[in-house]
Amino acid sequence: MIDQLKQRLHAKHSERIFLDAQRGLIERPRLTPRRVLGYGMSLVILALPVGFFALGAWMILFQSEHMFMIIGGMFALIFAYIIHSRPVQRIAKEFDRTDMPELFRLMDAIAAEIGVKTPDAFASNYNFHDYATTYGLFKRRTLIGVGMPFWWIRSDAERIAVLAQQIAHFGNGDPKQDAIVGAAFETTLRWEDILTPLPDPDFHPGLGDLIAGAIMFVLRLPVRIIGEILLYLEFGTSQRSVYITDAMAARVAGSDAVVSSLHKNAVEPVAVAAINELYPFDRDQNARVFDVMAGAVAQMRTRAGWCWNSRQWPKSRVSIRARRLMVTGLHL
Amino acid sequence: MKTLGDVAPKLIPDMFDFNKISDELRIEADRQGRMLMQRYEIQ
Repeated sequence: MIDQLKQRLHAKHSERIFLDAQRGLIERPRLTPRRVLGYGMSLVILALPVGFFALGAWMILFQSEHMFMIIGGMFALIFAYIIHSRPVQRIAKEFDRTDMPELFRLMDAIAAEIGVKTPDAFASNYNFHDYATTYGLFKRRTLIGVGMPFWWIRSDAERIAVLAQQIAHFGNGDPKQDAIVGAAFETTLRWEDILTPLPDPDFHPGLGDLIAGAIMFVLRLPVRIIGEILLYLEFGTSQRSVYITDAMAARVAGSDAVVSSLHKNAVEPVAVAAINELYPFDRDQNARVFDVMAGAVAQMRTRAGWCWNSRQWPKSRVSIRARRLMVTGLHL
Repeated sequence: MKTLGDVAPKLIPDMFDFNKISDELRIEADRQGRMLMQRYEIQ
């Protein structure tokens, strides 16, 4: 009888999941005060260099009778140049379907199930993360990236899940939605970078370095706070978008694979510990380092405690996503 | 791990040659692995 009740609930939830997922794909996210504030702050950040450029040009071109206005205008132009937004350099090697035909056959199948176009390119690096992005000023290209540790520590079903989660981002349009806030956040990161002193390895730091460091810290602090506020304001939108991508991925890879794949996001400390055990480090010895990481993660059940049982894990965003899928069965 | 509202997979690993995919990724994985270890070596 309980099983019958569960089955009925299952069917009811499945229907709602489907409808919610459909609605989530069709409707744009609601314009909440948080989103408005996030976009407002982002636009101000992105417009700031333009404002300084205009101020500098106005001072030099229209107020040139005063020498100090010309000097001030030049400072404004230099300042605008220093703080202006720049795209992040694309250093990862990109692969297309001629390089990796079987991987693209898998991505084609996933994209067809989700109902989106297959990404134009695949990229990877040695970091413990995955991402989806669109780039190109005139001809927009889509790219998904899966870090090598992410790929190698997963089972084949989880690999389908992780690719599906990223490809699904192109189905709910969030690489585009996040573009403004993302560009503003990257700009704050760049400002922080500019305001971070570079230590000189040849000389001991003197009093001047300490004073300069203190001034830069005071200037860096508000930039950091602005960046953190942007992330906080963006949380609702980004969390909603990953709920949708989780739901879409679950329909392709199955909810079990998505949940276990999300759990694998938490094993980074185990993978990093496996590298530390390779000390003393040697380039030649470690070309297969991701196999070493995968081996350590595979041995985790025999180790003392899963790292996602740690205090932080239940509160993490990924854990909340996994619980959404696991406990309530609501995929949104 | 059975879940309320469990969704069965439409795509399963048997439909694809994951060994071939691993082979395709291997050269890049080795390159990235060497880069990662170079970073550890410097640290």
